[in-house]
Amino acid sequence: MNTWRAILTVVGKDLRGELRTKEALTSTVVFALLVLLVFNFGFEPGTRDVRLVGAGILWSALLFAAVLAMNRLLLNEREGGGLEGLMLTPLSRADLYVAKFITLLCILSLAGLVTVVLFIVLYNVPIGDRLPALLAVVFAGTVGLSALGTTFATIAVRTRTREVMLPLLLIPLSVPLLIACVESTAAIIAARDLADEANWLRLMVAFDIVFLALGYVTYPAILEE
Amino acid sequence: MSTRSTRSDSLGSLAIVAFVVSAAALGFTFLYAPTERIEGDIQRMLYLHVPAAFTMYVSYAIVFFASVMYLFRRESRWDELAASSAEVGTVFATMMIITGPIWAKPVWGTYWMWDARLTSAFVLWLIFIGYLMLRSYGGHAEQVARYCAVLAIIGFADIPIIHYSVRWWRTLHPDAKILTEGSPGQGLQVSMLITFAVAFAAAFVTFAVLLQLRLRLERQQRRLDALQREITRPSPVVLGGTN
Repeated sequence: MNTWRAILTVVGKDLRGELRTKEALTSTVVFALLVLLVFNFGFEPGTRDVRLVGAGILWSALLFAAVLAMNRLLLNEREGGGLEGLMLTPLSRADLYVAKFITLLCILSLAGLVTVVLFIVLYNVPIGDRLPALLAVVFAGTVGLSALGTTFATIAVRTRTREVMLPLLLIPLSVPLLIACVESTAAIIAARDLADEANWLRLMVAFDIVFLALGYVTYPAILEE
Repeated sequence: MSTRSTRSDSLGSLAIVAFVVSAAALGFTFLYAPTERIEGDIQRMLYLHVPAAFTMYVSYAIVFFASVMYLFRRESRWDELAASSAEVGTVFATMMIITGPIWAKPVWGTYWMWDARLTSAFVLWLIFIGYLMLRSYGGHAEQVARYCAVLAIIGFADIPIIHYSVRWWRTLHPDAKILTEGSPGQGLQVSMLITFAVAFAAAFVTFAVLLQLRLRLERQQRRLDALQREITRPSPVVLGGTN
């Protein structure tokens, strides 16, 4: 119980810092908006095309924006010596993974929510009452991305190439998650029965669990200095 | 000193074996194996492409095993093995990625299809590339070893998930199922099977030789780095030296 309180204290500290500058959040949302803008030139918005490619566009925006946010958060941490400071606290290094994961998840979920709303408005997506289902899929995808992102952003900001390294490591590894997210998002946009997509939903949950567990187990090996 | 020379002797003889078997594989491929009835001569690509793909998986399994051992034992020899196997494995993976489209163009009429097997092989190749990039830019040696071990373990856990996800992805699109079961394995003649076996042997022995050579290079590199660190470390002798 005490561990959880300590973890939440770290999360609270990180979120307070983020809310004061809003650095990661603003840059993420604006970047997602720009991706939506660029893709819009590819086809006529509001036409039937959005049913075909909409899911891909939404997830491109979410993925690239997430990479940006992860780099921003961990780079600040690196430059301020934040993680090194936290390593001096009684929290175990695996618990630090949990804390960083929750922080990242909060920020990416918020940015994801705004991006989904922008996507629906800008692309005139006929979503109707399926919005909660879409948000649930976006959340499940965000959990998986945050689980891998916490590990690899911590690694990336400690390498010589810094932010370039993260997408190189993160994107190939998240391919299964991205396929599952795009497929189920496409089903929701096209108002198909979600029961047919049960495989994808199961895959997302399995992916989230596997990589959260692996992240928890391997994070201490990353933080040894 | 004597152990080192016997070691390089055995590597030398292994290299000769690799050369002979590879030459034999080439001979079998072009002279012995029959021309496939439908695909024609291009089907001989099978004897290069499939062994390269298998060797890639073998090398990745070695990288995974060595990475787990490194994280538990923290002995640099496991990291040396992981680094060497990943690099040699990438050579075979790249061979697979290049020979695939050359074979595909005349047979399928297209260089590339986002078919399940192609996609998962491509993603695995990208993970290898990321791994090598992390090796080059990861910082000091001990840090790189830890980071790469974590990446290899997470990547290995990802392989079955990638495999199943791309399979479901493509079975949900029945129109893309033109080539699910590719050419290999189905109704191969005995002479084709023999050629196939020789080609496999050639790939594995070549892999073993390259791995040993790369391993030796890695060890020498590390010894050199250690010596250089020793030289550049300021010592009273240098400070109060002849100048």
